[in-house]
Amino acid sequence: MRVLSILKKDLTILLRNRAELAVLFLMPLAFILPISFALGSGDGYGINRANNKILVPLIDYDGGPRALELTVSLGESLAPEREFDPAFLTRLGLDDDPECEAYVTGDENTTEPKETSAPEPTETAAGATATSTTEAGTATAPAATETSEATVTVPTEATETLPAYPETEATPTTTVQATETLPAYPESSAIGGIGAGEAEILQTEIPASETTTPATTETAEPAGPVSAIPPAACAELAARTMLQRSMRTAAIVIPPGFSAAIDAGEPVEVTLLFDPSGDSVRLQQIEGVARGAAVKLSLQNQLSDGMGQMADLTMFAPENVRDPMREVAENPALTEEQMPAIRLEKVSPTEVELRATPNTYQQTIPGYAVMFVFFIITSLTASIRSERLNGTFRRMLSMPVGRGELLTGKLLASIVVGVAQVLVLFLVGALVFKMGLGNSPLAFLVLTIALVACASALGLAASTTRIKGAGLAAPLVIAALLGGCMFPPDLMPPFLRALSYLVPHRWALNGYQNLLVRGLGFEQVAPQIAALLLFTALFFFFAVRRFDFTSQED
Amino acid sequence: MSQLLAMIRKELMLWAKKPGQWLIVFLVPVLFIWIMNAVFGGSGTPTVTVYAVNEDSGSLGERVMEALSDAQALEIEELETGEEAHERVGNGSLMAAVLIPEGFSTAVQTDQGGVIAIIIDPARAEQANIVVGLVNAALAPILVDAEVSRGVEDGINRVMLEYQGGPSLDATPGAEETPFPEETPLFEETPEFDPTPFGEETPFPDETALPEGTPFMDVTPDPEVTLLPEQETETDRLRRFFHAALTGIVSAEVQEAVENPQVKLAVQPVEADPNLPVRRPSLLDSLVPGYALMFVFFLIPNLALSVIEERETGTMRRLLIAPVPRSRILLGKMLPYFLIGVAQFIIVFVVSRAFFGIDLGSPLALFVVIVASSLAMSALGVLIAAFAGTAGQADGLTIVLVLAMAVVSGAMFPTISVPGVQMVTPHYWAMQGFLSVIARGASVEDVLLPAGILMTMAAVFFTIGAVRFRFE
Repeated sequence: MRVLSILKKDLTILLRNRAELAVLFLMPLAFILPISFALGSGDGYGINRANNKILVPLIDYDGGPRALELTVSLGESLAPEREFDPAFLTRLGLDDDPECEAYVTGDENTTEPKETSAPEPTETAAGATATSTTEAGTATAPAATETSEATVTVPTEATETLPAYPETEATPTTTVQATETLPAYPESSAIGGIGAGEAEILQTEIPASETTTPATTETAEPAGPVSAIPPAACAELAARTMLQRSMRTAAIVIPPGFSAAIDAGEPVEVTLLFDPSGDSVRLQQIEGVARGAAVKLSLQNQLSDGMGQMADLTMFAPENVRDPMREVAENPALTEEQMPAIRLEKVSPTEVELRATPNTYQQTIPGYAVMFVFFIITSLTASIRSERLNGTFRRMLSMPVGRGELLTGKLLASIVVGVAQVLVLFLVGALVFKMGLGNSPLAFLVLTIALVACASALGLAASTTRIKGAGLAAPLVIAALLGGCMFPPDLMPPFLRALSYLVPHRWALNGYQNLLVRGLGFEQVAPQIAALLLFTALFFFFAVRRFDFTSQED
Repeated sequence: MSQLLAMIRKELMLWAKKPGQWLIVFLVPVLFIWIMNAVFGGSGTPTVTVYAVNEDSGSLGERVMEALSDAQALEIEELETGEEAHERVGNGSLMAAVLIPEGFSTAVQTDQGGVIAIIIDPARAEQANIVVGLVNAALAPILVDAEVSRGVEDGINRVMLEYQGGPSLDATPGAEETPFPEETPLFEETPEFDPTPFGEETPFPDETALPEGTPFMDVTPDPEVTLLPEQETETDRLRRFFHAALTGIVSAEVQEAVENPQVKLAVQPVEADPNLPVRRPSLLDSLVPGYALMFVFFLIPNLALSVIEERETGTMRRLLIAPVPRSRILLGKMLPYFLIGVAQFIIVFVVSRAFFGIDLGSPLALFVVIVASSLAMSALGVLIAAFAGTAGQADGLTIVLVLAMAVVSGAMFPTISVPGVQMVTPHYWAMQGFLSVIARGASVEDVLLPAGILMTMAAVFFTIGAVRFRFE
């Protein structure tokens, strides 16, 4: 009863102070709004965009068929960007440059697309022609035009802000899922590029999430029919400028004479330029794709040499098999209907039934929400420090109230306010950003109460120490990190993963994931709730034991 | 001036008396970097723990399991059954499991191919995608190998068909009696295959596996042919012959193409200085300054609290009696936190450099950005103290504000930011400065712009704060 009157007193005081109240409920908004906008309109994970690929400027000094093949195979996982319109180059400040001047001023003659005649495929000693590469080249040509169309729209948006330090993320660059980039290498498997189906299989598995902020992501305007490929030297300048301004992560330069060198069997080098201050993860993805594409192109050509050797080999074969053998050697790639020998398929766990694939918010928000709940709530209870300093506690202890009762009252007041704050946070997420709240409101409420109780008790415990102000915030960042709020504990070394169970964040996060993302019910979050209550008890015990009610010292 | 110094000394003395405070300010950021380094390492690629289940009875399943365990980026926890894997991923213990189904070795030889299932926790599908990429990379040699084996077998079957004139003999392209991949895995002699075959020079350690130049000469005079039992048919012998020949040629070419591709990739930074070694960006390049920044900005609530408490407890009034201009009192509050901020930055960077080998570029340019950032931080503290009515407000509101700024500006995680709005935050300009110095090797002149903007922000914050502050 006395606990309740303390609770009532605290809440009354709070309700009377309108300013304080407003601040308390602005706090969850100050968190949910920026993080949602950051995930939605910025780069985020880039899955809201239709063309879910990283933009990579491609500078083609060659223009031959092998360069096209390379572009096409890069286009399977990246968005090669070859066209830069004159207005964009002007905004980059390249209109005065001798390389670009003619192009920018509209002298279209300088931009003729180089239609190099395809050199003859290599002839091998026995006269057997390697045909596989030529086939591949023609088959993929239509795809190439598609790729360049898809990227032509980009420069217009990218140039909105171009002071010396443009905002890095203003460009519609998108992140390619790791899955799409890495298959490039296995795909390059030997016989006639069989594995092409693999990337598609993986891609279709990627959740086609609803676009929650459609206005910001619609950049696709139809590409102009006129080709806008500047001269290669000018394109390289543009690419270098964009890299220097962190507008792109990397660019690929195909040297002159590329096709001829490949057909002549000579080694040749493609250059990958990168922004040294860029996103390292993205660079790794681009490099992986580029290497895969280079190996694939090499394989196609080197393998046709091998098939020539195979034809030579018929000389050793018995008389009557020579013809069929030569036949095989000359047409090694009759395997279109085959699936890749080994492919990876993503599946969901059997007993988990999802009504819809969780979107980015649902996947990302629980982690950040748990982290912020701790910040918000602990600051609430930490403020009782000021109550101790101005002597209120001493007065209350003169009344017949136990220490435990006094602190329980404080804890309850904090829980009531805290739960309201957290509910505001999730409600805004649900209403404004269409974040699902799961199927079990009861379980959600109980879990939220347990989490808030835990955070409040932690705040109480912290207020018994000399840590003040945001001093608690820094350790809380570490706890959030360990608890998996920022990246999954799966990435941690085993000892850190074991440690993560000692952090309440881990349990709270698991609970919210079960409810909000997996759509499970009360039973499945009972262990998490129990764990959070255990933490609460521990922190509260510590607080009661340690709390110095009388000291007015800091 | 001496008054100012006295105030700064007093504030720092108060700080010095609280060892807990010092631990938090200087130890926690270091702890943070230590964890990040343990997870992401220098390469920026974390090691991911996944479950793996092998339900296949053939030898290919075992080879896949071996390749997974050998992969540096994967840590394997082996389970007995597929159901167990489904259940554990379903309840979120780990986010992914690799499942090699029954009959995998046989299925690989068919047109449909074999499927390795990767069970992904849908709650973390985006994060778990990295597992698919890592498994793909780890299995790359096996994938190529299986493709070559099946292609070779296919070719042989076609030869045999034409030779026989019909599908009468040995027309079962399945693998019942020709499990050759088990006998002669192409890459058998290179079990130490580097799981990241794109890594520079030496993906295939064993060059002698297939001598260059004369692959088929070694294979053609197959001695085994003559040792075969009498009853072996001519078809079988031919099959063997073709198999050996094709395998030799194809694998030699594949190996050659992977090991020494005709088309090479030269990776170089955009402002290439030929005198400097190529420096790859690492995730820590942005994480270290980003979080150092965040931790330094956590000083703001302390600054605001200390000002407000002085007003609440009445010591401020006593200060006002002294012949000191009011703005100087605020300056005396602000500068100690500026100094602590600078010290915090320096400690974080020195530790990163000394213990985690993070290359930081020009120390002088770095120092300029540090000073400018700390000024902006402490001036923001004065501004917040001016606007926050009570200690409670200063505390709670500030933490959220500081975190929100870190998120918006992209300092917290480089790929998450709010374009446009981010340019209003001091974090954004500080990150521009830090990244220029650390990643691009910028000199002092190169960081003058972000440093200048930060100092302008500091001046604006302080002026507004000093004008608005109610001293009593």
